[in-house]
Amino acid sequence: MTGHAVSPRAVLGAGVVTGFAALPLFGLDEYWIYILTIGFYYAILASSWSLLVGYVGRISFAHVAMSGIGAYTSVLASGSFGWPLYFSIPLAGLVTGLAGLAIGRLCLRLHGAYLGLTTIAFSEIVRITITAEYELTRGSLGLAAVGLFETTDRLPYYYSFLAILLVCLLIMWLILRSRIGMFFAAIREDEDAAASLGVKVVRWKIFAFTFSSVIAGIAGGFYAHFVQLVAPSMMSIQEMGLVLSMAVVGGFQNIFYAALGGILLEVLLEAMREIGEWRMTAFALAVILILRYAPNGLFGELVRTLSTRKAPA
Amino acid sequence: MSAQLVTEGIVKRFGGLTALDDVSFEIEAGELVGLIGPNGSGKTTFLNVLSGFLRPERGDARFEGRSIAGREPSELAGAGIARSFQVTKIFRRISVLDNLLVPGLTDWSIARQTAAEKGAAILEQLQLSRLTHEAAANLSGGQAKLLEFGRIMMLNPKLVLLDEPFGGVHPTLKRLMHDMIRDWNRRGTSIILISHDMGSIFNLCRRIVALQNGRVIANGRPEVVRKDPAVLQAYLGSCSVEDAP
Repeated sequence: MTGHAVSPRAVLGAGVVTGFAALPLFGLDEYWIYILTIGFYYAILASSWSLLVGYVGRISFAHVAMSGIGAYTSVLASGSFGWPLYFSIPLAGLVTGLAGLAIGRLCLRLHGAYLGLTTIAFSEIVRITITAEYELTRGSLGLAAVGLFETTDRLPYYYSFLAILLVCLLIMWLILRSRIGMFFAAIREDEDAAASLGVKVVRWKIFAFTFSSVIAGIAGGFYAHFVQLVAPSMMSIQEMGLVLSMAVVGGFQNIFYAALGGILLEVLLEAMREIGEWRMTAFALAVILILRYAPNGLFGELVRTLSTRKAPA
Repeated sequence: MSAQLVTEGIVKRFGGLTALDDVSFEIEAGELVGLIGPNGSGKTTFLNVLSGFLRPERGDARFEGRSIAGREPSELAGAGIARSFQVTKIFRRISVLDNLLVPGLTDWSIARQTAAEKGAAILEQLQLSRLTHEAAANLSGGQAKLLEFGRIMMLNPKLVLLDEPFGGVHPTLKRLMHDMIRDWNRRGTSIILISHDMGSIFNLCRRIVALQNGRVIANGRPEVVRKDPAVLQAYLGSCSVEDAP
């Protein structure tokens, strides 16, 4: 046995990435390229939300608000102040990081329902403030944004968002496999025990909240310059419910499964467009059933089943 | 020897209940002290104050000359105070080895490989090697108690606070735990041991402190404390402390 055997999961992951990279080469039409690009955006949101919820055990309903803060920051910086996008998008990450740090310091000593309710309140404050303010944000009309590229071709956006998703997943994975990931697991399992063993519980919870906010903010910044419009609706509770559904359906205890959940649900959302808002009811029902019968999510269960079948009797 | 830990007039209240009432106490470096008392006497509350989980209303606690009252538990762990919990708090969804790596990696100067080697050696000593990569949720109650011991060993503590480590533990495992406590103590680690298992307390400790209603009612050598009228009275109806529940 060599020590360099490639794990089946790594092969599967490489296959999935290659598949997405190759899809446009096999005649995928422009409409589905557009849908998958949005799917990659949701994959970043679902995976970074799952980092906080699945790995640290802390709930947040403010994730799409962070994405919205990032989107507005980049659009205002590039539109109103004329900053180039290579400044405005990192600024989006910085501003959401500061917002995440502030909220983290304020409420991560809270637990369970209290933390959840506080993040909902924060999210609604941000959304309503942006809606009510008109001079700067144009309220519910939203703001037009410049595109990432001068071309109207969807393909550069598709590959850019795929690359951004992969970079985000790589950074999250590196953090999770470091000692910080070990501290996250200890905090999720038992905060008191973790603290008694020297883990700086509050510091790492705030770090997790801030880091996942930065990822959401940067995703929001890129998204704004893809759809070329930002509006308060991207921060609605319904939108948060969608991201939550994506993470849960994919498997929120694993960033990669959550990301796949984001892409899957976005594709299903479009494929089921004929049934209108009933789609959301179907997704909500899927969340309930998956939480009850497959807490590792669809992809978690799939990998578990495949691993069990391959294991020798 | 000089006092390693000193508490002076510690008072802790929960609403109208005074859990600790003017508790003054000292432990010298390398001592093994038993802390006894009926249920609700304040033993665990005292450990929670010493380990940073509770802030006292009044009084001070100093460890190696520095005040520790109100400091964070993680800070105190770094300063050399480690503890176990009455209800075992292992990290159930991660592996047995990873349970040991958590405290091992809180010191950023220690490489993961070094911590893993130390963890493997500790698991060998605890006779848990065959469970190294097993999820901790699959351990028995006694094995979970041993794992808590192992996590404490990873910290190389100067003072260990043990809260009911023998509850529900098989006699064979209990003997192993006794040996480990003696071994730590031989190496110079101070220990405060809470237990209702009077056999273990009298077997292991060279000094016993008895609490009742949050007050120290006896403090001395085991043979003196076991005959102390106040202690006998606290364990209502008992002919001797060994018979106490």
